[in-house]
Amino acid sequence: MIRRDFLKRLGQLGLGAYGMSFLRFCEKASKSISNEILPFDVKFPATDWTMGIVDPQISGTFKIMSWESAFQFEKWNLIINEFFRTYYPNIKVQLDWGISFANYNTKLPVLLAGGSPPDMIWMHDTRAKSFAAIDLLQELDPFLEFFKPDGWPDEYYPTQVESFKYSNKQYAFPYDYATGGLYINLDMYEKIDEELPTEDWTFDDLLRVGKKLTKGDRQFGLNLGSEASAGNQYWILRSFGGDWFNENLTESKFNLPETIEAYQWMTDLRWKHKVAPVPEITQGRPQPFVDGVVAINADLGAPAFGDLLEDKFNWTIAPSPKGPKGRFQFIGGSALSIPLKATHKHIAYELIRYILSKPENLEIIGKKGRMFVSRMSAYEYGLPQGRLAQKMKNYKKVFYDLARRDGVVVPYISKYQEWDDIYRRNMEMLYFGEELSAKKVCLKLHDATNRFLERTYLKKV
Amino acid sequence: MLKKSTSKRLVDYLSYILLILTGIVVILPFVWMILSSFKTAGEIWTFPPVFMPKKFQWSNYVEAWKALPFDRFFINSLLVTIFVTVGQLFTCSLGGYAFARLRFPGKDKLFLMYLATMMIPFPVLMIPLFIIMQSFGWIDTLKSIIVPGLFSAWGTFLMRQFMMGIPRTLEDAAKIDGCSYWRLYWKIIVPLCKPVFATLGIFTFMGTWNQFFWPLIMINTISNKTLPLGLVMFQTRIAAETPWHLIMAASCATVLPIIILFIIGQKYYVKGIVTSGLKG
Repeated sequence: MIRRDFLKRLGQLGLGAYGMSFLRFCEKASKSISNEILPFDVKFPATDWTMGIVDPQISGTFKIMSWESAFQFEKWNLIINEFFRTYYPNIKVQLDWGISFANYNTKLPVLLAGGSPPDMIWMHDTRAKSFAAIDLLQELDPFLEFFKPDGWPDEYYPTQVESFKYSNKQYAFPYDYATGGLYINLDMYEKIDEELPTEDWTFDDLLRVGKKLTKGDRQFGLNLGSEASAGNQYWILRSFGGDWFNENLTESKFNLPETIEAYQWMTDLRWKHKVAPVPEITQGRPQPFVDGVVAINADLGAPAFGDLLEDKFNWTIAPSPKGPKGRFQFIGGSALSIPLKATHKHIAYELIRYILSKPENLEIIGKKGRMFVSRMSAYEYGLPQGRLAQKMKNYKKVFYDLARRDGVVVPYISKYQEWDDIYRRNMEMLYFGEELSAKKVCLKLHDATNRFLERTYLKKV
Repeated sequence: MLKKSTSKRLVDYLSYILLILTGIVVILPFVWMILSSFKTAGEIWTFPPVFMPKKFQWSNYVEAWKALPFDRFFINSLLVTIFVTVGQLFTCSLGGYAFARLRFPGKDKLFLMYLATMMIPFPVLMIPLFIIMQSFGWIDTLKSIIVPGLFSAWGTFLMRQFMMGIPRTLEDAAKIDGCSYWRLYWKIIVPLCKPVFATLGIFTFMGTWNQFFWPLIMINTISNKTLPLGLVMFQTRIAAETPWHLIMAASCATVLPIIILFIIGQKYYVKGIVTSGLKG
């Protein structure tokens, strides 16, 4: 055999061996990512907050990853430390927090894909289904059946429970309830002869007042956000009778007259009626309402707790308006999840249950947090306190009662991030005023969405 | 003649004005960061923006330092940066020497292959590199940031280019005197390469000090975090709730070593850009 042939054979053998090992690896990987049924063998004395499956004397490291910031994580820290001190004193807790939301969503997939997942993670409603769909999250139903949290699921906001389901299975336990409403600059508002908005106000009423409140480029009547931000504007879309897709995800609804009407209304605020700030102004001012440039601003309940608004001007809150097809209110939320390949799944579930169903803990999270906690009976802990409570006497009605009645779950599909790119590319044309006809943009988006749905969900929903 | 000198002076003045204006544009964000580090949370959000704080809030620095263990972050950053810089100078100079001076089969092809690795975007390498670090058991250790940083194709290229300019006669004389390759490298090449060592050292120091993405993936515990990771720990999901005044205060302290290093070695920094045609 000449040298060249020998080297060729050697190369072929090497490639073959590599191929075989790669296939073995794939087989192993596919086996390990199936959502296995967990053993529930009770071997140790159970307590109110532990199942008795894991030895209380177990040692090791329990890893937690969160997007909460330095100041926000304090409340979680208190509860987590208490849990481990009481029930698993030999476990070392590794807390990875203070990762900004965007970076969190970059790091988490790498850890999950790299096979080094934390034991408990923070999960957002915009991404839960995406992770669940590719088998990266542990299904919680076996746990929820075996060791049911107090009040589950009836005492938890149905919208939040629903947000973290995929294929009718629960993949995360909701911890907050973020809802939307209107913030009103009273110093500006009192100069026009109008009553404050109520839940019966229509979008036309809002536009009428917005026109009165607008003073050229110095002061804008309304700021309802950008139509390029899909999830945040969904409530407006539904109020007009529009939608993104049908329930089976087989067809886009961007060609519906109601959908087009909703987007045209949003676009006209900025470019036709000129009552909303254009992107050049909002991009330079991340907080146009706080800056005193906008009179009525749609936002989450959270900023009401902030210190920024307190002394700058007189302000209050009001319900968001209703549309031709009814009243819908924005709802969003976050949750706690267990990665499928987590090491300490049972402890992770016990901890989640301990954090989110023990009344004392809900009080800590509610009072030290910015949103309502996900258990309905604990709503009062999420209400503003002290001076802010006096300022916003209708806070409960606007951000709690009406949200429970009219709150709408945003249909964050499993490929939402991918679709959101398509949505944003098209809707930015309206937002930046490159195209003023919502019909043209919506029909283009309709075709693009149908192509996306066909490509992605044709075989499997 | 006089007319020519006047017009030359005018061109000079205009050039200076243009350079001063460019300088102001470049330095403005930096000045803004320093001044913002003394503002209150409310002043940060004021519009139109206020340049000077009403009252200098020195307490921002104390508050930022108390809220998070920045001293620990500082030590970690320093350790990582020193190890990576020294390591990279060593490996790149050895690699550069081999590619510039030694003769072995496939040298040029190997060098091209090594350079080609610069064209692979980091996100592509991220998961394989993560798995390698995991198999070593280095997740959440400073080793996982230091070791991959010890080698650089760009640094090797820079060294090779510089070393190729060193006269071969010096080496030949040393060889005649019985110098080994290692001694040749250590006694002849390294002393002659001081400028390129300084250039690569500054680039590597600055790049490693500011490195964010890879440490973000690898480091999980607070005690192992570096300064850039520590800075983002203040950020919240709701932008208005992020204490930017504290972030600015911490940022000012963070960039201090870089500024000192830049002031000391700016000559080499500029030279590096000229030599390689690349920035960092």
